[in-house]
Amino acid sequence: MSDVTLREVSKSFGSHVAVDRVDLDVRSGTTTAVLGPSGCGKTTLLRLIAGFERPEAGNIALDGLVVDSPERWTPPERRRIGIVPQEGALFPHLNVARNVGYGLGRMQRRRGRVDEALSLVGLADSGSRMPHELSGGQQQRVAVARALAPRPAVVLLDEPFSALDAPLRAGIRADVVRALRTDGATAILVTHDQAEALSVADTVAVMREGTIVQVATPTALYRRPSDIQVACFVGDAVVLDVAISDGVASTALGPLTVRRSDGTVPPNGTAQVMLRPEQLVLTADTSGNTTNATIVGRDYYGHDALLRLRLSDGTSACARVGPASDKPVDAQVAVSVLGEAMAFDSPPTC
Amino acid sequence: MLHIHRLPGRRLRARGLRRGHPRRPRGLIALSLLGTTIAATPLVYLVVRAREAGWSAAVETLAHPTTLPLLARSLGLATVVTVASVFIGAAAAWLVVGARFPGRGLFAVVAPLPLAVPSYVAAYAWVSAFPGMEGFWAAALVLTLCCYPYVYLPVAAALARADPGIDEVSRSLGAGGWRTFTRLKLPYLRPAIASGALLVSLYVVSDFGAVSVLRVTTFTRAIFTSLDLGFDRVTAVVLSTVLIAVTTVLVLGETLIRGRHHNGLTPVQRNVRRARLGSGAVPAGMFMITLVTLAVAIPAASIGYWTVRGAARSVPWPDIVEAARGSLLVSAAGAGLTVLLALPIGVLAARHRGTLPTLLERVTWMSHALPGVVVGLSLVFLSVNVVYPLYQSTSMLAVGYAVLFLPLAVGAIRVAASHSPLILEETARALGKRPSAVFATVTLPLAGPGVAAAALLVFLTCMKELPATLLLRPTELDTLATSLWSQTTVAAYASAAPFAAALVLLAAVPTYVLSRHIGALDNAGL
Repeated sequence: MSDVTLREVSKSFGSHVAVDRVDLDVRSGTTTAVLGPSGCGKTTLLRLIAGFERPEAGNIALDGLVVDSPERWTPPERRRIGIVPQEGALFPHLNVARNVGYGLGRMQRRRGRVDEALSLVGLADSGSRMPHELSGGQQQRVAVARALAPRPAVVLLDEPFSALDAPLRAGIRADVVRALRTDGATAILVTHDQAEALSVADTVAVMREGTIVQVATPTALYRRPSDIQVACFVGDAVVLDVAISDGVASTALGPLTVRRSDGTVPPNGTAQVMLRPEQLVLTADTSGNTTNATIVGRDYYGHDALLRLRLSDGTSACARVGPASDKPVDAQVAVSVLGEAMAFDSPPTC
Repeated sequence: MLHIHRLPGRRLRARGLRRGHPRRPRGLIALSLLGTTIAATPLVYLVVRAREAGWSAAVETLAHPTTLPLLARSLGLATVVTVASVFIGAAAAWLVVGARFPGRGLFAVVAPLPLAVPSYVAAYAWVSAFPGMEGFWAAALVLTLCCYPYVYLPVAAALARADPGIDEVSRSLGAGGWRTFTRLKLPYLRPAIASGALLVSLYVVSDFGAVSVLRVTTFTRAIFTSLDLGFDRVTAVVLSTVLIAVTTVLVLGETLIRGRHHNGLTPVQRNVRRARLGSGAVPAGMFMITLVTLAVAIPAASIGYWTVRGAARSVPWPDIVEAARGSLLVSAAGAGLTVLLALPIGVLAARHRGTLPTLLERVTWMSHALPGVVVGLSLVFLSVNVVYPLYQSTSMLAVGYAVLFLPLAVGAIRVAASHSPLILEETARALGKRPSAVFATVTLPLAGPGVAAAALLVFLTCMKELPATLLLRPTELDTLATSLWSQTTVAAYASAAPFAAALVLLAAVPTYVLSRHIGALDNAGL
């Protein structure tokens, strides 16, 4: 059973096609992230699902009921959705409890659903405060509680964390995801932040220029992206131009086993292959015969570090190493590869 | 594939949102057209009359040797008063909002009060105190003292919500105080100054009362005189079309000066840091004391003196109460109708960009600079020829006020509507509230205070209005303004003074409330 179903949904503004024949299924109780760069149509997609915009073509169903088709249209207030906009959009004239209770009937309010929703987001005692007395993070939590309170069929989150400071973001993100799971809510999260999409969602739909190019679990998306642009968008990537024969590419890093994203062996000929920086391993051997790269730069993150390398044939690559690695810039290193490389047919690079 | 289930409840038709079409606020545009059409009525009247008169008559009037000097005098007066009001209003606003000196709080209350004094009351107060005062410069002085609040209020509002961080950044980048002022403060205040200057110039161009009392023959007074003599409508009509041309130029000019500024709403609200004036505190205090003396104390003392002198004989209490009742009645009707007509236009301007919303908003300005008497005549013409039952009724007077003061309300409502952004209404609908419930629980509470401020502003302006009221009121109805006018025409200062006092005191209440809530009128065309 799927809670949200889109079929061939299209929407344009003037000559600009914002959403182009999109199909999407979101299963009950799961969180789907719609990931894409700004301007790719992901917010429009959310607004179509909410009923704030109407598509030119296609059908939208929520909870098994068609809410938008050429024949029918259900207004937003009858769709049983909850929405968490970018800046929270709390009603400034209502206190926290009345914000959260806004979508509830009198009976539900009496039964304590407001307190329940507030404790879901860790703000049980803040009911009497006014929105402007809260921090940005607290406002966002209230917005989530307000969306969850009426137990909607689906919660739509539009870049809800992008306005928050980085250290705050991770914590609130985790809390919100926990709240969604605890409540068994179905959620669609729109974001341009790949780390957010990968860490939060059960399923990620990558959107580009109005179309959805790949729908996959975070693991599958990271390891088997459908094309090279998706590969580069969802994480750091090493891209090499290679010649392939019998499923093996000869590269500056030695011979590599290559597979396409569907697991098949690519045909012989030239292609681009992609490796993740984690697959590149610095070996201790400095005797000379396996040194095949020079360290040209180093980005240190604390929990790990990214080394930027120049391979012996002049191409650029990068490797992720542990925090204790202390190889200096300009050092000659030996690099070997774990696992197989992904091959893509299409020539464009990212 | 999807299975189409039966929808819960009744079958829903697409209301408001049509499939495959971009969202166009059709209903809003239709309702806006109602207001702009009413506001454009005098234009229709003028066109009809001008056609009757014919080209040759029009050319003859325009080419008449007295026409050009009249126009020059009107424009000259408008320029002098506007420039003086901008300097005085902006300086007073900066002192009251941005500086520290003794008595600041008191001046904040008193400085906007001249808004409660109609220009003819101020002129009459000055003349009765200094007999023989008349002419161009006398009119310039009196009008400036009446008009500077139109600049003071928007500039004070803009200063109050300016982000002090911007100042600090400028200083940190090495710009000195003067440079920070000319490069940052001035451009920031430009929209507020421009809208204030527009109001002042239109007020002066269409002013009738003060120039009559002070015997300066301006364009507007010439129109009134030629009508009053009863036989020369062609001159009035032709001169009025010239005034419309002047208004168009001024409104366009304001649009240009305002530039591409948007209402720079700063998300962070911080307390304004007031500048210490040091040795400048003394001249600053002197400036404010002089301003308040001239603009408030002298008219108040003059009216007070004549009221007391008149009271020694007898005070016509029943007449005053009756006239006050009339004033409140017609002003309330005018404010109600004006705000009702302005609501869709203001909301449209706040919510939707594009040529049509801008055009609709700008058209409302066209009649604002017309002398009240022309607006009055066009509505008399309309009611006699089209809707006779409305002739000389309170309803028609309310329409007249709406025609004259629509842009004031539109501006204030535009700001009010921006206090309830679309995203809040969408969120409310997603939470299951019908549009009507969303309006009642979100839009109205958020925009309501601003709409109330718009109503108050129009109410105040209606109360001060004279020429249109004289023409359009029901014959048996007297207002404070009309009673006052009939007394001053015979220079009966003592018997006119109680009406003036009552009018100013009544008008001071909304003025005070408005000046306490300048934020609501921020950039609103006031």
